[in-house]
Amino acid sequence: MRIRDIFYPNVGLENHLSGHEFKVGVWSDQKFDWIGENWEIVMKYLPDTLIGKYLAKSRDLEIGLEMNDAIHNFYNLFLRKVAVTNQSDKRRDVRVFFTHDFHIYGQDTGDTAMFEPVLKALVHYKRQRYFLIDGVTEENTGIYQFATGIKESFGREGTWKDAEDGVLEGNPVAQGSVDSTVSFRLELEPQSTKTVYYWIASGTSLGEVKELDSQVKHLGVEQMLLETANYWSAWVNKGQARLSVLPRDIIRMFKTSLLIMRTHVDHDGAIIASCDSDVLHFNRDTYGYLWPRDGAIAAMAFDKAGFQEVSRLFFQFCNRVIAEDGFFHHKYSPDGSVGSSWHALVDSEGQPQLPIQVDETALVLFALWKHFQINRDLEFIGEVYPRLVIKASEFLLSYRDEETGLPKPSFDLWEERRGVYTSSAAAICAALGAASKFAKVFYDRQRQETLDQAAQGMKQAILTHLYDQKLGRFIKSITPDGIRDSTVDSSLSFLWSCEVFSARDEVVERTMSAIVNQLWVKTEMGGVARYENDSYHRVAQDIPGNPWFICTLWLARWQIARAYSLEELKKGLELLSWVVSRALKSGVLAEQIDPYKGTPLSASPLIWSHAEFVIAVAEYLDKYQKLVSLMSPGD
Amino acid sequence: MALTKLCRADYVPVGEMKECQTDDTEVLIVNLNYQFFCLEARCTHAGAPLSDGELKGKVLSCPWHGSQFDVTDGRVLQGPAEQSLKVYPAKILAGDIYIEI
Repeated sequence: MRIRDIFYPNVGLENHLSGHEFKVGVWSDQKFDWIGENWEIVMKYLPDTLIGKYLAKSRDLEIGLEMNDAIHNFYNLFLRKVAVTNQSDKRRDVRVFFTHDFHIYGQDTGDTAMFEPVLKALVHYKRQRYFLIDGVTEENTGIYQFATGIKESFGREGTWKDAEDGVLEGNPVAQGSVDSTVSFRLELEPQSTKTVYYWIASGTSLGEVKELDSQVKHLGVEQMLLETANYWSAWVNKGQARLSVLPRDIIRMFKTSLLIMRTHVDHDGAIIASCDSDVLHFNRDTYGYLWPRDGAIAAMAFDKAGFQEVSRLFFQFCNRVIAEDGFFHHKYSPDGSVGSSWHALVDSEGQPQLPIQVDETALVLFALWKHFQINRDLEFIGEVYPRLVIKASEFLLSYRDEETGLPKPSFDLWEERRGVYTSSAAAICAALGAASKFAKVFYDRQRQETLDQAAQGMKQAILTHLYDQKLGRFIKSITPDGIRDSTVDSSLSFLWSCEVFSARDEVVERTMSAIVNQLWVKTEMGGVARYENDSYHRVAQDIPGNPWFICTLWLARWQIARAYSLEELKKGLELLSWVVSRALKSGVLAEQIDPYKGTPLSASPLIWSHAEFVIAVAEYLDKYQKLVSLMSPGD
Repeated sequence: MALTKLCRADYVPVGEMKECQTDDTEVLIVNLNYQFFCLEARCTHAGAPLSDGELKGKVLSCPWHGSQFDVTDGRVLQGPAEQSLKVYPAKILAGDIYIEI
């Protein structure tokens, strides 16, 4: 119910709250409370939409709120409907407060907050960013009181403090590090409900936000919420005819995942990993970047679910930002600039190194092939072939160790260590194969042959150097010093998910058995950890690591891929149900969960988690149809 | 009227409902103790997906704004919806559910 992030004009860029929040408070009978820990709160989405539905109840205030929040599907408008119920048996004056702790452009200086007397609205602005705050009650009365003021300096806490006596002083302008608060007043009969409509318009000029304001006043928030609900309902139900064989909770999670994923796709094509700003408190940076790996997996999910127009945006973005040498950097801002990174340009000996995770380049190429397999959009592929296919594949060809045939060392997909990783090698093998197939499509014969041989060579090198005969499974990596790291790592799933080996191949079966045996978290929560002794956000020593959704979903996908019968396929479905049972009530999937409490840990939502769920469901449906079609009528 | 196959009857457990799509129609199937009722799948008020609503006995509540319908005949029991849900005559043939469109 608190607003934690406002991104404008790109998804993931700029964040005008910078880790701060907008609060909602209620005053009545000389008592005031901000909605928070003293309230009973339920948060979810209206089914099939991106309309939030929040129920909040304060026993102390005897007030109940039902709120619907949305970003309009076309306009840069945050819309909020608040139905306020007086749960007492007396007539009451109730005031609802909304605070605005903007840090425009992510900075706490140089902002202005002012009252606009013609519109009777508040405006916050700095340079090219304007935010207009307005609202109306169902009785057509606008903002009741307002205040603008100084915060975070000169001992001032902000106007939110002013609200706690139920009255706002009406200071019309403040400059510097500023905030504002508005209130709406309702006269409520006993056990009755009235509604407040509130909105924030975002734009690059005062004229633009005024125009948006008049648009809302003309159409009304109620109508705009209905438009938005129906838009997303139509969007998410496009071509989902096959879903009826699934349990209802999985269908809902599938649609919620697609909708949450879509909120993380910028209009310029970046798919940010997570918009969760809570992580700011740990490392002063966020997940608000495009990681080409996460983006590639999300693109595969969008393609499998029938949203090729979204994945195409992503590939166009990749085509623009790929380095001239044919690789992707660690991560990117939504405007296409190279993102912050913790990978050094030199190794511990001071020797130069390429600070990349090579699987990121490979997975984009592999995802592009999967996109083409589904959509056959040759003209689009023709646009990106010279850079995204040729340059990337030439880079991957050059990034091989001549002696072993394996990739040269790079950072792993967990972004922790440098070495030659089995998962990266599998992704490169898949990418070389994908590029070879593209070359065949374009009758680029010599290139096709070279790439095909390289893919075969990579597969052989993986078997020769990364399969351990004694252990009877693949190892995680070989360090730059040549030390073999035999840690059981769930990312070994890339061997079959990138289609290098069949899911039923003996070498895969043995490796996946090790993952199940070593990485299934043996607590009530269950789930698969990333790798043995994973210390990231670890909460206990008696487990291999915290359960991660993506790792558990790899196991689900493997069970689905290897199923020869509907009975075997149930194992995959059980793991999908596990994911649903561990999601937040809103349907949000975090990166990982607490192995004992099941509470979300690290970024939440994590788009990669949702994308793996969508892929797993799509693969389940494909396999289900295949198995049913193989059954004779008498079966 | 043509018979259109929706799905296998055992995909819809007793007391539950499921949405099925034909070429151009979204149909809500409700299993009330092995009596199958097929209705239009969207609320007549604002288009909400009724398969995500709540089913108590034969009363179906819309997940968006709380309209209530009788699933046996599509009647509105409580607004804001004003218009009844369309009901499609259903048949079970060899374990599959068919409707007449």
